[in-house]
Amino acid sequence: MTSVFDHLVGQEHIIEILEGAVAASRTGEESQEMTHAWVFTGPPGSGRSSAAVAFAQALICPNNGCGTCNDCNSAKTHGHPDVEIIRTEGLSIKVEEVRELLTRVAWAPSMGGWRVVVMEDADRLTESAANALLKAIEEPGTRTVWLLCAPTLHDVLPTIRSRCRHLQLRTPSLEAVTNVLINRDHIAPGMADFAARVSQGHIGRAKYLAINESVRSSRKTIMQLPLQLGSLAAAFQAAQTLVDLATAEANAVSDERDEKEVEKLQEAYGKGATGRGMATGGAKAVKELEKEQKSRSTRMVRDSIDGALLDIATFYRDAMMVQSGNIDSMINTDMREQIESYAASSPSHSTINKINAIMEARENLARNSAPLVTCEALMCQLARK
Amino acid sequence: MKGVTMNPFYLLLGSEGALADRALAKLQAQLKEEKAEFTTIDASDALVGDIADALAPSLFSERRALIIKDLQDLPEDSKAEVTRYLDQPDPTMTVIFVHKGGVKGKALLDAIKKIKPEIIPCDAIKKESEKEDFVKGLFQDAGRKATPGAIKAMVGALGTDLRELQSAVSQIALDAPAGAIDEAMVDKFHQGRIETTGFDVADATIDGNLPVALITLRSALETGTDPVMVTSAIASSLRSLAKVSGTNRGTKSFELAGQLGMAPWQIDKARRQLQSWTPRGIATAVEAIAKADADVKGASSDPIFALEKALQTITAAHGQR
Ligand SMILES: [Zn+2]
Repeated sequence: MTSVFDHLVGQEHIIEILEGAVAASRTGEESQEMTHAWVFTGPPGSGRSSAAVAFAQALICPNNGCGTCNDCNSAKTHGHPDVEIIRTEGLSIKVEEVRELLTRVAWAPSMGGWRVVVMEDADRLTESAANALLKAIEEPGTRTVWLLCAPTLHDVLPTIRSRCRHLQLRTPSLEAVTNVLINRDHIAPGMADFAARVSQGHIGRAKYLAINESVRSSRKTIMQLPLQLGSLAAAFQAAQTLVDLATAEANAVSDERDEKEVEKLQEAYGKGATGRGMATGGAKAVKELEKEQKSRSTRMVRDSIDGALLDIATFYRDAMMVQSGNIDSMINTDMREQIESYAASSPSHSTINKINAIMEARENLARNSAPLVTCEALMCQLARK
Repeated sequence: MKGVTMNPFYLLLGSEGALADRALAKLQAQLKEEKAEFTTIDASDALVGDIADALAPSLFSERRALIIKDLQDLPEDSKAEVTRYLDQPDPTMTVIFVHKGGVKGKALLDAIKKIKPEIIPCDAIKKESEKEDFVKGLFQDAGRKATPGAIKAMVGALGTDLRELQSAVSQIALDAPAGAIDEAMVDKFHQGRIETTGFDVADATIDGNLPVALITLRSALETGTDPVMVTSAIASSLRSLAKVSGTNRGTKSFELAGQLGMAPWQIDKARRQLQSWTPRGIATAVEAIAKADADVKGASSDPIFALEKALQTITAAHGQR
């Protein structure tokens, strides 16, 4: 029989625990195995929210998470009355949002059993929002199960994490990701291998890369940048190229989504095919949505630049591997010759410095530093011998 | 009624907001001359009854006007208030409709067109020459004359956003000394436009003059300049140096302008400054300013100290061989 847990790649160690919890939950009582607050942590792309959603499905499915029944399907697509998936695009989850959520989940589950709330970005809870949530988690005897997701345990307020059972996801192995791409997404083996390797265990990114020609081509351009730092002007040009490509990639995703959201909102305000205008307040609501979209797209551009910097880091990582005689674990095998000749011409301590410089630039970007000048400074550092 | 020379209805039609603004400003000036009382309604905010109230006959039969902006966003419930009035207009009243065009609110637009208002087209301007005409007209509105070179320079620099262009013209028209406005004045305006104080600090820093850089930094911050504006001004100056450093010395600056995305005077300035900079020095400087940017964004507890330190590093890198 199929199971929602089949899709969790390389996470056998937690599947066992979750299946135990599902079995214990059938008694309807809280027990050692089945607690009502969990934290899923793991590196980006390891699938922490997929794991939490699969657990939610298993808890409300009559067949322990078959993945095919109505309950399983509606739980995943936000259509199940007893499953709430909180996904935020904003920078923070505010206390008002948590309060509103708490009133929504205050009733007993409609179908008996459990009500499940999945919070995908628990690390973005503001302190007051976290405290509001804490009260709900502490309340005894409720039938609500809280599944919080965050990159690391450190990102969750200590008072909350001390009340949660912690599950740590692993970065899936190269083979595991490749197999998922081949078997689940029907991607050709060669492409699957390439995408899995360069995405370093990030399944979502691997799939995105495997199915998007334009994404692969801009990645290719970006991977050439370390080899194009021959002069000061070239280093600045490289920074501009990186920022431009990353911006274009982010906008390609957000423009389409933004447009759909606006259309949906306009429809909600009664704008129909007959050319009717919107009801009062519609134009204002659209303006507000557009403002929100703008801040989200700024964040997406930053994430996209971060992804490009991680890509570039793999170039130097490979060079370091070559310099230390470890040529088998190369990520960018398609650039083997270029990387080897770079590795031969540059001392290994400078390679390490460059990787550190990339990580520092990423930290600065995460703190909202200006993207272009941050990349310019980085490229100047990478241009050094 | 005596003294009424304006039409009862105007329709400003098209998507170019800057053109509509300009036409509206002219009409408003006329209205003021006729001593009309006028009300402005944003269609998207209009509540039921707002428009009917504004159009209702006045007890004192004074000269009045109603301006309805963004007519395409007018809520369904309010449309009848407009169409009812179209049938029985008030002779003391002038109504100005501003509509972006397109399919939104088309039925109402057609009804308005039927009563033959004076239509002022405000279609998007795409051609360079039309933009130049627009700028020329703006200068005329402000009672000023500008040389063709100055007009070209303005369109070249700000032509992607007509509203930006509009505000630049009115600023220059106010600031420039009497006589025709030429290219030099436009350049001077651009230099001043991007946070003068930030660029003062940048100029002193790039010239390697630490005392002046520190003093202008202090006074810039005291007069409320955001530290972020200082780092971005310095970053932008260094970017100009780096770009120009990659070009052939023999090429004329105006030939490089398009390729580098810089104005010729900026290129000449960067060339002068480059005489005391090496690539290594510029690299050191940009690393210092990137660090300062991260610091003022919160990585450091003392952003001003972080900026001062960056100025020290950069001025020290100046003249370095
Ligand atoms: Zn099921």
